[in-house]
Amino acid sequence: MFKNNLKITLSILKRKKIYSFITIFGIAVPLMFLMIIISTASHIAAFKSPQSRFDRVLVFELIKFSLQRDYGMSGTMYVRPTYDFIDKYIKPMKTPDKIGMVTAGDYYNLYINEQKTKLKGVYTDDVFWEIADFNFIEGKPFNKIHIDNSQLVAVIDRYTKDLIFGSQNAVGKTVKFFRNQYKIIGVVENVDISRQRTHANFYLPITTSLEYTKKDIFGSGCICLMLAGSKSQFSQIISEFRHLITNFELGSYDGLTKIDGDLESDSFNKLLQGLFENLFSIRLKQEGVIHAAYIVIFFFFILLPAINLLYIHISRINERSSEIGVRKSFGGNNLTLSKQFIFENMTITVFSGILGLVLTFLFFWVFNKSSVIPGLHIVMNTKSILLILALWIFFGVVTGFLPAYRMSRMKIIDALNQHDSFHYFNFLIWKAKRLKMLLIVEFTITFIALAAICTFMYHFKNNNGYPLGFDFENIYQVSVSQYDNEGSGFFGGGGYNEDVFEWVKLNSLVEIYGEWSWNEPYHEGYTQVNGKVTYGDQVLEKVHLTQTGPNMDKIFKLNLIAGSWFMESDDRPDYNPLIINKTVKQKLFKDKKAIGETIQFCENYFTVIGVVDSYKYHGEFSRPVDIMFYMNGFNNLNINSWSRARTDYFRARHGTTLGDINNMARSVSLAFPDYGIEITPLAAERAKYFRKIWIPIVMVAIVFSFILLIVLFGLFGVLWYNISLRKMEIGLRRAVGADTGKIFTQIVLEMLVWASIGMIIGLFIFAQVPLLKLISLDIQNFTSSVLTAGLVIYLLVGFCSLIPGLQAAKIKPALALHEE
Amino acid sequence: MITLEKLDKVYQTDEIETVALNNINLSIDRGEFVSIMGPSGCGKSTLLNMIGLLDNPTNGSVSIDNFQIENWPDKKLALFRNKKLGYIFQSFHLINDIPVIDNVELPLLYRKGVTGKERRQKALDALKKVGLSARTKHYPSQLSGGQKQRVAIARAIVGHPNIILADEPTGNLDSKMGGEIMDILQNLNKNENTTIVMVTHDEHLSKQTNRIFHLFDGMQVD
Ligand SMILES: Nc1ncnc2c1ncn2[C@@H]1O[C@H](COP(=O)(O)OP(=O)(O)OP(=O)(O)O)[C@@H](O)[C@H]1O
Ligand SMILES: [Mg+2]
Repeated sequence: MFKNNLKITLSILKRKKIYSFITIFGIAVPLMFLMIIISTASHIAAFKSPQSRFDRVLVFELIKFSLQRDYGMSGTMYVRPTYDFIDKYIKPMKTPDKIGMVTAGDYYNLYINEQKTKLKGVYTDDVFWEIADFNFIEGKPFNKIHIDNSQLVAVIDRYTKDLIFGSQNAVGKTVKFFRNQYKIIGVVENVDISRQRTHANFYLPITTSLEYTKKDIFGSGCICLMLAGSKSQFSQIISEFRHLITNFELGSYDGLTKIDGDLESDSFNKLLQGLFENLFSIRLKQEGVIHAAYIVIFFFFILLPAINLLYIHISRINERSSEIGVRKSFGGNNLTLSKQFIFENMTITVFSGILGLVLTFLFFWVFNKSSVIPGLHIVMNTKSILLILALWIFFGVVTGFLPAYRMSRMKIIDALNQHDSFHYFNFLIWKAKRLKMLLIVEFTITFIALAAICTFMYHFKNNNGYPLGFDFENIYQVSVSQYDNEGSGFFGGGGYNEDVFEWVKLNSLVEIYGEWSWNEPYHEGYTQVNGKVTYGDQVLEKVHLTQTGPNMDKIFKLNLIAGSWFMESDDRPDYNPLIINKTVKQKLFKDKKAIGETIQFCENYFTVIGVVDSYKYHGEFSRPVDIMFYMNGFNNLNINSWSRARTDYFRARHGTTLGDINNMARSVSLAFPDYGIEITPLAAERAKYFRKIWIPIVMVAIVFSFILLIVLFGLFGVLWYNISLRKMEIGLRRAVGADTGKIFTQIVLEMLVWASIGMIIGLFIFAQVPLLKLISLDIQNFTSSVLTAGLVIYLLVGFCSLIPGLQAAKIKPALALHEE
Repeated sequence: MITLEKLDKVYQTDEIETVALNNINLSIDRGEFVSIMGPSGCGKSTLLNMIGLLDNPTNGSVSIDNFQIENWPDKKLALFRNKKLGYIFQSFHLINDIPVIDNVELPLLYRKGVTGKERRQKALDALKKVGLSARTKHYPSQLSGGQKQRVAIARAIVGHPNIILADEPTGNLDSKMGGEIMDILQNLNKNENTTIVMVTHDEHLSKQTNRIFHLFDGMQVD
């Protein structure tokens, strides 16, 4: 029987080549997407070396401070717990088995033969090595004695070892990392970038760092890892921790008294967030967005293909009801026939499953080989793949059973004459009407998805419509960080050195030089410095601030629409010049002149000296904000007690090449070996920014095209089926004189009607969904999004109708009638 | 061997009720060759469907080989059809997706203990009998009406059923080919004692049968 069934199935697939192709591909492609997603997810979530034990680990990552100042400034500050804090207050905790720590990682430029390699280094304590289970190729980790004596020893990964020592052994040799020469005592296997708690290129004892061991709660901090004896002890540990943190007395820190913090295990969402931060420095803040993504994945990667599959199976049975009648009259019993149909469904399911698997393998092979994302090497997880396949096959059986069951209830004579005699069996009748219901559901879902995507896109597009407000060509950014800075902690100055900036400033390549703090062009910080502004009875809240100096207008070609830019001579103790942007001007002054007016900001009075058209420091796709520039010399705003991150910029002389700049950077690095000095073109910052923006866009585009693909397959199948069912009708119509165009129009029109019904339902739902609020996108894009989504669907229907429609139009009357 | 008692068939559609058969009493003996005649729409095909167990009568009973066929389970009924009955449908009902030879093999497919080779051989023999040896690999849509009819006949005789139910088996054939088909049926009737019930409009053919059963508006007229 097996052989017979296979023979029948193959001959039927062979007879309807295009239809079979669409069926199999329409199932295989979504399956591939699903396998890719699940494999990637399970790769990220898997507890594998060196994080095998991390299912028992709780993480304490951030201390939360709430800051409230009377003059209108407020903010929440998250600071990592310092070595000192963990050592003094956390380590004495009784419930965890082990408490270790590791820093989030710092980057170090290693030069080998003029070639710069950026390496990630972390500082850890000895317990870290007991919590993680690294694979040592050589040597061993550092222990308590190393930590207690601040010994300069290091563990490196295979990549770094190969880079520095090639095939030689590394243990016993010394390498300079940051400011010190370290003796290598161990080499570990490379750690995948998705293992964010343990991934680094080199590991150093935390006590060899001056910066991380400062006795200050606002110093550079670590991630604290607690290993529980078993998962069941989590609740005990958490309650001990909560007790400790909420009763903690901070002493007096500039008005701060209380702290707060959470102890959490690494959930999949957190791992995902971590990976994103690691890879693209994107912060997926809202859990809601992640959950929405899950729902989208579920709908589009499982539900739509499932609907298509069901549709295909049902239409196949309907189409072949006469065949069923014949088989029954010549002795086929229900069981045998059901078996045959289930077998056919299974064959299609299995074929497409295998194809999906092959496509997935190919994808990962290319993905890993080309290292699109360096450091991320995804090993396909057999278990999860098998799970999906099993699920899929189960699904194939179920969707196969439904039609088979229906078929077995068919009266022979009705099957033969293709009557639908099942009015008494309502819920399983898949009459044409019901099939169309499925189609409408598909249109509804698609419409909602497309409209949501369009909203997102229009949001970007709209923002991009506002001018950026500054130039980025031929501008270079100078940033300096001191390796292992011993400065005065969070409230003190940054790790920069005036001498470094002076050195750069005097270089002959520099045409105009200036300095900027806060919210520089393409700034990506999470800190938002803002406050309340008053002019007369006008009050403006949440105005963004940036601090800069003379020359910046020339460097950045800022578009001043009134007044003038800061001058050196403006730097006087009794004078606070301020430049505002157009929106601030409109909100405060309306049509009146702003230049020369005095406005109050926090507790200070400023004189408006200029108005710029626009300044979108978060980049092209960000929303324009109200922003004011104050001058560098001004130090009375209290915000300077927050770490002042300074970045300098210069416009290079005409004709300067990137090579010239790199040489310059290299020589300044040699002159100041204890500093990490980066001179990067602003265009590169821009490119980085665009990469970050592109990732969500590309992801959305993938989902978008995927949805289109699924719907395309679905529609194509439906139309194909309709036309093959109506071949005779079409042939007849043509025989009695209907022309090709009419038939074609009729088919397309019918489809458009179903699409429209689906979209009306979709529109109704879309208008309700608070999704818009969740991702805080503009409602003003609603109409255009809805229209675009509608247009896309209509185009899709048109496109899908084209081939089957042409096929129908090509049907020769004689041929069609001949088919019975 | 075939007995119909007080048989009624009423088709119930949304608005109208069609009485297709009304109080039919008919008995056909083993080895008989009966033809059914009557104007279009008088219920000939319906009667054949009742005998063929393809549909349930509204009232009355059908018994074949002394088996009263009522509420039989699907499996038993299927086996019974396979062994005892062979159909030649008025509109052929060939499966378009499989070639002629597979169409003919179909009844043997549902019969236990027949190997693939035997099936093929028997199907080829049946096709030879109806003069279609040259068209075995064709698909039904590639055949002429008469050729389709001959495939349907080959399919009906391939399993050597006890009863053949033929609904206008020669309707699409010229008189020469019609004669040949009639010969095949006569041979089966004579040599294998096959009971044959044939619907026809052709007086000439019906005269060659043992008995003519006349139907008018669902009722038998003698
Ligand atoms: N499934 C059905 N539903 C409703 N009415 C039906 C059905 N099948 C047949 N009929 C009606 O029953 C009557 C008998 O039909 P039947 O097919 O038996 O006629 P026939 O004698 O075979 O005619 P012909 O010589 O044209 O083939 C007709 O009036 C027909 O309209
Ligand atoms: Mg008839």
